[in-house]
Amino acid sequence: MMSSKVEGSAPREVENIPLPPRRSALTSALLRPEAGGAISALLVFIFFAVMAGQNGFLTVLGTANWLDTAADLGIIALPIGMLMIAGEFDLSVGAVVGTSSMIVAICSGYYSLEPWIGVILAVIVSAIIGALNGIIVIRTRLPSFIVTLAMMLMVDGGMLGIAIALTGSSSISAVPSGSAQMVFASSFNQFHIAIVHWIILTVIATYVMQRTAFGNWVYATGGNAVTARLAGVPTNWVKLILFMATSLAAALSGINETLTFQNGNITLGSQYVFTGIAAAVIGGVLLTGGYGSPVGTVFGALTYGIVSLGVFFLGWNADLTDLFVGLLLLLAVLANHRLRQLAMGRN
Amino acid sequence: MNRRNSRFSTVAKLALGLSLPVLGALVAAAPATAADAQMTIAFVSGPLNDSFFPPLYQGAQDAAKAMGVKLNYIPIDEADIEATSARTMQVAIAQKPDAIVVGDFVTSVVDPYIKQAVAAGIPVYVDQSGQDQWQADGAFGFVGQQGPEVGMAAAQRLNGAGSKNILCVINVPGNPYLQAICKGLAAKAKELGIASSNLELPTADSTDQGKVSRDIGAYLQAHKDIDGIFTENAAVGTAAAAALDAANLTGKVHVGTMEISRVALQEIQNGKIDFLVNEQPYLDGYFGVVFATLYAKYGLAPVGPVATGPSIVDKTNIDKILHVFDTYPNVIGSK
Repeated sequence: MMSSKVEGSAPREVENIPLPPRRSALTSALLRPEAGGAISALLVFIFFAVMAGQNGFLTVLGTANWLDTAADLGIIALPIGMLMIAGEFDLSVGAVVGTSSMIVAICSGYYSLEPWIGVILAVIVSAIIGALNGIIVIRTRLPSFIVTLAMMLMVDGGMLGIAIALTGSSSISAVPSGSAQMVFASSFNQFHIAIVHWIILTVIATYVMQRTAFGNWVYATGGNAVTARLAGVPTNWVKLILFMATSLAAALSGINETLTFQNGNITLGSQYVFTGIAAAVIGGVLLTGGYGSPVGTVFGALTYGIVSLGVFFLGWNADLTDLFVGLLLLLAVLANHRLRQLAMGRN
Repeated sequence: MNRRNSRFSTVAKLALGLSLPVLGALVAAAPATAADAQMTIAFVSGPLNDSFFPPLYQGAQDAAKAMGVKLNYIPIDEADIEATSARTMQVAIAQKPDAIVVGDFVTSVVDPYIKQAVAAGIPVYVDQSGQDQWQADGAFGFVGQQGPEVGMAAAQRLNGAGSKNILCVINVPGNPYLQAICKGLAAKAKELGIASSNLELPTADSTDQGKVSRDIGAYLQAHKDIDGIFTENAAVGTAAAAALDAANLTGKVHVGTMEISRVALQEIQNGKIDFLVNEQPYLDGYFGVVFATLYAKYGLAPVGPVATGPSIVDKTNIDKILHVFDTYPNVIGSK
């Protein structure tokens, strides 16, 4: 009983006192939820800099490559991480990415409407999907894992049906123009605008989680929902808002990619179901909720971006790519876990 | 062979003619009088979330309308290709249609069901994939293209453009049809005395165009001797063109791709993609339904396989293709 509570002590500290009490500088740095993610990102960066530096990994283009990948994932992983801190999952993000992609493409490509109309419609539909996720989870008390899994299938199938009925196709050209192109599809030296979106969202998320009552509510909801509710935390509202934020982030990613590559596809983004959660966990978010930070999720996304692109710079057998990505991610999570145990053992 | 099949089908039709009104009354809300006159064609093929298949589906629908038959399109799931290939054929056979048209993508799984359907008196027409198996399975014909021939044509074209080391990108790992194409490409490259290799994209990346583009870009950084790329769908092809653009390699590395999309056609005009292999999926769908109907009704069918590809789109014929692409949605590709 007592020993099983050792791990659980960290979340409780975070709930009650946002900043850890006085410890040695190193220990308190290592105790921060993002420490493991930061070290993972640094280690994989050094690994690929050494192993693949001569193959272009360190060039401007190489850097833009893994940073763009991290940004695409990071935009979605950020709210997924916050939702997981609040104790819930969202498996429907991939379907929302594909759906918003199709909405933008159908409006701008098939019906030749102003791109912003598609963008606004995609945002509205995504917000509704997120709200539905939240309402169903809150009302039925079913696990969000199952509710959002069902939502993923319904959204995917529903959008496919609508797209086929309207256009006869599941992959449609999207034509970006004017300000929408600048906001969602521009890039500087191959550094895509998504990186800017990601930075802005990270600043907002960090501020919300550290400086606002809502941030405390998120930690409290995931730490112990019953206690939190008794203490007056509106846990239902917290969950609803986070489900909607997750869907909206997925929509942003879908819009970005669709207008950048001028092609809407229903299957776009399906990988984020796994990689979004992976980034949050690498970044120190506990699968059981109550613990983690937006900055940690940023490092998680960076780790994934570096690893999943770095393997192609190695020049090794490409068939082994997935094997390396999986192995390095496992090592990153393991290192993260050990680090937390070590840091906590020390105090 | 053919004649024997047709007798089977006559018997089957008689049996069906008796059972269809009953079935129709049980299953559909439609009045039974309409059901007994109309033939039903079951069409087992790929899912509509794969951009290859909407034109095929469109062709099948257009043919069904023209022929006055009922089309029952049953899609497999590419994420679970083997199990769903079996399940969809079971469903098709259980519905006792007048004929089945099937994309024989995983021959080891689908072939036994083709034999089972033929034994049950349902004529089967193999469509788009399964070119080596259809005769042995007892199907009455094949329309489509030979996977290896697509790869061979691609190697020939890229070599003609000056490529000496070709990368064949496989976007659905484990798809035997796509692998056969890269095998054909490798065989032709060997014959021409040039190098070739395969890049299988990670499953998690295959639907993410941005990631695919960066994957290919990174791979080229580590393999600087590659000067030709062949990809197996238009999204991957345009992603490859974008990767070359980013690395200032446009023109130095030649690109060809299967499938046609609006952006891919633009890239042909811009000179960023050298050629597209038009697999003409609309014809697969259209001919599939037409031949199946003619065979089920009259016992007539083309003798031997009917080839729908590989047909090539490049700067010489792009104007015509672009015109059709913009005028008739889903005939060549989605708008």
